[in-house]
Amino acid sequence: MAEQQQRGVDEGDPAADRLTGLPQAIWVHILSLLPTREAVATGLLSRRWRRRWHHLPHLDLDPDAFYVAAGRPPPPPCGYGSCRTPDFAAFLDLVLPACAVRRTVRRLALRPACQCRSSSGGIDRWVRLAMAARRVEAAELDFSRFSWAYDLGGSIPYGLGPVAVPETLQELKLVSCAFSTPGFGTFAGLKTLALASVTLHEGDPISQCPLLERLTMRDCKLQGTLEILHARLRRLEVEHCSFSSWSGAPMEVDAPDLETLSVTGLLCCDALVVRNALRLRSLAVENCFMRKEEGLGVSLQVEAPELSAFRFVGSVGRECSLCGGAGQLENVEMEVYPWGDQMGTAHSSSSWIRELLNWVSSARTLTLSGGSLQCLSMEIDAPEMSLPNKFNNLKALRLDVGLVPMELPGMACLLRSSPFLHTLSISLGDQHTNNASPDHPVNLHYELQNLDQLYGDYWETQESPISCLVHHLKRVEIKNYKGRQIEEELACFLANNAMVLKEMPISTPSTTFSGFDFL
Amino acid sequence: MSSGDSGPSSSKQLVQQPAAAGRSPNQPPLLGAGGRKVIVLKSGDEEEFEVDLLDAMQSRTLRRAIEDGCGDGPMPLPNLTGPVLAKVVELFRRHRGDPRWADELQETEKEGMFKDYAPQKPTAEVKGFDREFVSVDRDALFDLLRAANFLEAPGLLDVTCDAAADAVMNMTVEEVREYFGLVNDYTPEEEAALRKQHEWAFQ
Repeated sequence: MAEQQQRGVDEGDPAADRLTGLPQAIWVHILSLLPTREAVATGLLSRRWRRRWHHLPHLDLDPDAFYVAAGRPPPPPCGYGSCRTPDFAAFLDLVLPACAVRRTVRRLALRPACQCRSSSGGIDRWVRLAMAARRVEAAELDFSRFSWAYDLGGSIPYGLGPVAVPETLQELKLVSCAFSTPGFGTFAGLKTLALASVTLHEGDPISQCPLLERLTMRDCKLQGTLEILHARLRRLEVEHCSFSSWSGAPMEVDAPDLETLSVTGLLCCDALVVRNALRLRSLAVENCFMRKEEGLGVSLQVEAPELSAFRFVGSVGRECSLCGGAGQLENVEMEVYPWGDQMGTAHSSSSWIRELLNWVSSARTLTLSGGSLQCLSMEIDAPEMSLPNKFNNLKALRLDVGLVPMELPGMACLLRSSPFLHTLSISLGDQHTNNASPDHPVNLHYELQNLDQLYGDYWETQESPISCLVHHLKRVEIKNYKGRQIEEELACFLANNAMVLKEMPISTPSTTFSGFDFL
Repeated sequence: MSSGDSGPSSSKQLVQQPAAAGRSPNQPPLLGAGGRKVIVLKSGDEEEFEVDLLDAMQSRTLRRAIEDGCGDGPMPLPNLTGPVLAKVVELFRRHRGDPRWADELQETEKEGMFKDYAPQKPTAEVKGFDREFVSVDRDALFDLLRAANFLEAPGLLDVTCDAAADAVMNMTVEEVREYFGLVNDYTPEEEAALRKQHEWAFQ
């Protein structure tokens, strides 16, 4: 009603006020396109404009943007006792109380510039006001300009009670703070939660968010264990987080609706336990370590019957227990680094990879790294061995290898275990860099690569026919062929023994030719 | 964006109404299967412009009118002048397949009409055209803003509002007043109090 009246006045008097001669929808749109600082400054224009900015749909309260809009460089963080950003504080004091009580704010980002007002409760007040915006749908609270982690839950003064989070809030991003849920009421409507550089005290960070569907954690410090027990969560991403306990702590996930789980760079993690993941389609575990300096990876315990994509990059851990045979696997990628030759634990590496390969034996496409083949080679005691669980669905196999003798037994074993293989692509990397990441301490048998001739032609040990070569292998691709003896022996073996081979493109670093040249 | 909030739902209803009522079988379909259909728009000063039917659909107002069956004769748009309408029609033509509104179209028209109307990212050429489009004087820009509001065309609205926001960015309060033709009706006391409150804006 009030809007109608206002509109009527605006349209009735175009000569006096040119922009307000435009309809309300237009000036709201223009205001919302201005940086928050400029939009708020329109309050000075005239009486009619005095409170228009109170209805801004998006508030971006960021000191960098604020000072850049003013044509000044953002000031350095404040020292104790001397505030270098009084302007920004005054700006927040003006904007937050005015806008937060309206029902128009949809998106809000608050990044306090300094901590020096925290003693007077300034920051707590701002956070409370920001969270009081009644229709806010997406909010971001960023404390990255503080020199310490602002405790979002814990520092709330006694008597004020938990911050009331609006029910409309669906997306929340917290940056650089400590987070303990008791400080907040329940996040009744939250669907997406992103935590960046957040210190988590409790095991289960999302117990208060019953509707959460997506959780992202980046650069977080985990002070205890990490337990995600949630009935609705669909997507969980954990990136570059670390447990603070040196003895390691487990990450446990029990979420029946989970569809995507990706864990990257998790440190001091003892075990990754995924239970009851009945709908999990995609699982990626990359560069997670129990002890990175020793190259000891995480133990895996996974139960995911519907898994269709699995990616593993990293070192082997202590244990590998994978159950509920994933029968739907489409695409599997594994880049495994063997662990601990030096401590007589080579056995655990090889049994680990064997367990993993058994689990993924229903895969339709498989990508393996040279390290994975080396792990597999350690397990092989007879020259013509195959794996107990055959890869009966495997149509395409891709090997990213440096091609050193240690990889050959694993390669042969894999070919014997894949009776219906249709396409084999071998990508020959640089043997020095392809096998292990540069920061990886494991000492592989690189010295052997120069001793090819001592081994002789490995493929001569393969006397009985390999089933997929005889019946199914139609295409072999070799990339980055450099003509070393070991490469030539492999290419000759494949060209001579693949009975139904249709094409065999070989690319060298400079040119491409056909493998039938070897015949 | 508040204009966008009410727009899609109401237009959706309007889209579905004729279908629910059931077109009589001998009535020709809105679009022939093959060739493009054009409609004629008539400005307030009696200039006529031909515009491709699909392009006209960028405007929610025109879309509603077409779907209510007003697209057969010249469609009068009395509050748009010839030069403004000429520019708008050109923008509609250049924005053909612009994702800013094509998404919305595809939502409402899952089958039939817009099948071959795949959304595409605005090319550098379209962006260049947009820049050129709004490099006009202040009054012409305001005419376009009013046209955008009347036609409810998201693409046109975005381009023109962006230009207006860009224009007033980095202006002082006095300059913005001048640009928008505002009269400062604060009393000196009020203005002093406000200036104190907005002190940060003058640093």
